[in-house]
Amino acid sequence: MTNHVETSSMTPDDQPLDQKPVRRQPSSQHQDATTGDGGSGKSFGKLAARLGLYVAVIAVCIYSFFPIYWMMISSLRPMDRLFLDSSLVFWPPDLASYTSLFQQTNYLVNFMNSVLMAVGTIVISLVLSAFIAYGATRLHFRGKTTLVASMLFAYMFPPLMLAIPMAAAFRWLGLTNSLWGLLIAHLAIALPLAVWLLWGFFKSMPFDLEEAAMVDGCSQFEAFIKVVLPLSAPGLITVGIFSFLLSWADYVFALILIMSDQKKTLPVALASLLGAHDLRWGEVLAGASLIALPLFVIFIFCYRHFVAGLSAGALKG
Amino acid sequence: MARISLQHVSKSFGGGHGPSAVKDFCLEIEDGELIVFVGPSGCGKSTTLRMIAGLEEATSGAILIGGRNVTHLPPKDRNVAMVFQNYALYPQKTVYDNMAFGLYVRGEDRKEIDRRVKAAAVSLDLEALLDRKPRQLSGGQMQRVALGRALVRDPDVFLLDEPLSNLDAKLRVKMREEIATLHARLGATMIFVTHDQVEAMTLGDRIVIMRDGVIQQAGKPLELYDRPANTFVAGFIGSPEMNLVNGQLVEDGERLAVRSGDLTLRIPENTFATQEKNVTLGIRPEHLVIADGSPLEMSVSLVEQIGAQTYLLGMIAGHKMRAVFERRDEIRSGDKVPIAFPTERLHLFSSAGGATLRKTEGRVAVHAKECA
Repeated sequence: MTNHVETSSMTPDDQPLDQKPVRRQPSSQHQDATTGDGGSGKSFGKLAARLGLYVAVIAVCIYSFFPIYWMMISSLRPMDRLFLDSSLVFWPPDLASYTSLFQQTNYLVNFMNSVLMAVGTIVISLVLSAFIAYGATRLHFRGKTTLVASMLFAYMFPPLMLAIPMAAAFRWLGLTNSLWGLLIAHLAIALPLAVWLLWGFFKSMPFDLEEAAMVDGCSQFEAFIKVVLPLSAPGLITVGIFSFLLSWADYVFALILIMSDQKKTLPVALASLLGAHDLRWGEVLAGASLIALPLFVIFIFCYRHFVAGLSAGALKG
Repeated sequence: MARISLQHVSKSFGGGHGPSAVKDFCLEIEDGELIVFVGPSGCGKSTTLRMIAGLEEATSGAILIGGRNVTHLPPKDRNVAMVFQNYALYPQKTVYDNMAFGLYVRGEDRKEIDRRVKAAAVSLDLEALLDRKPRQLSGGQMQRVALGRALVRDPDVFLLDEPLSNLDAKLRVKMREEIATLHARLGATMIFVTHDQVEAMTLGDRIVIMRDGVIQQAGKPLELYDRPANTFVAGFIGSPEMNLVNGQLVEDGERLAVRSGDLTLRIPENTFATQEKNVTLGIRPEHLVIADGSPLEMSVSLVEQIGAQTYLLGMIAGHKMRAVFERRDEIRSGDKVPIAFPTERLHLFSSAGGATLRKTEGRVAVHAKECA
């Protein structure tokens, strides 16, 4: 049998690939001609879908950001016009609320308390979660996955349900009205989430890199420090941001565990400005704006790492 | 450089109670030898290599490098260098830092590090790439960096775990030649793991063929090709693989022959043990010859022209076989080709277990020699 005979006996579907385009050409032209109208209909549909998406995104952005915008411009409104003027744009801004906040409250002390708590939570949760998550991914022991998953169990309860028994335990330990106690409470919330995120991150990292480092002369600990950690920057930044958010924005634990004005963190101190007979909205809004400011700054600078870290955790966890 | 001794090494996963990956592995690797572990996926070749590197702990047995028992030493204390299948280059470091990392960790003098890295870069043609990150390199370049990283360390042993498997066919051949040249130049002890028998045959001073964690045969490439210890080795070494036919040993006149259906082939005298009745006859496709007037014919069902050679697939006396000849343009599918089986090229194996029946050789003898 010759190749020629074999080729001529082929059905169109059996033909070699290089012959197919020649055969198919007329039918594809026909298709192009007939789908001319359908094509414009399709592109209109695409345009409408894209427009709808933009409208939805803009609506969600307005919904999310308007209260923050309102808080900020209200903090810059003259105090006597706070309840009279509802304009969305005005000039000049008035810093009276900020001045009053710093002069008449313990804002700077409370700010330092919040910073201490946030920094402590970030540093300790980063260090501990990195070691725990690395151990959980690299060491073999029974029930490992269940153990890591159960660390998130605490998130199923409202913070108040955790804060009350914690307050009782801290009283017994002598940690009531102590920033150390509050730090432990913040870590109890931040650490499981941090371990969960880094667990997903380390799982996605190939073992070969550490093994190469170990053959190159590192112990496993050195391989972790010199090779794994530098590659984990997105995950570590995400953990840092989450820990900061949890600590910086905490209200419930600080309210229940801290009593003295000198040890209050910003959210609780700010809430205490809203007395029963004295509603100092200007100072409250100025204080709230200052609380939100670091969040914006951090998010803007770390946005890319934050998303990368979250994705790694979500996909590989 | 150093001699390596693997003495009754075994590896079981699951705390020693799980499935066995390597069983009673015994091998002596001479100083400066390039030895290739080859076998199908899951045969234990990479596990054995990782045990030598210290990345897996042997469940039992002893591993000696340069006379030093390293069985329980961590990888960093074994003075071995390893090239990984996916290169395992540190993505955050430049090519220079990747190559220098092992020396930094060991606290070498900066000037000495610089000298060694640059010397390795010259020998591997990496000078222009030293400032690049791994993501900016091609597969072949990454492979060369991985080799360079091993090279600068001046280790006792080079371990290469399927280093060419991620490269395309052309680059693979080029890198294979580079590794062979490197070995010839350095005279280093190297262990190369692959599942590709062509790589094994072309690179290895000796080849160790493994299956299910057990050495099937260890020897020089042509020894394995000419005198396979069993049907597994016979089928694994050589492409296309050896034709194997199950049959019975019968008397054919004054000579012994193997009969299987309509096929009766005389075997050479005094070459094989003949006490077993059920045997497997083997002949390599390239050892079949076209012989006008031969009573045996191949009914050709498929012709593959690969250039210098012609591959045939067809039936000979009711048995499906492959044949390889020097280029024969005239053969077509459906043709009948007269075929002869050169007696001296025949192999005979036991049907029970597949061990060779060739006298004085066999897997048991080879294994006993290694484990002595």
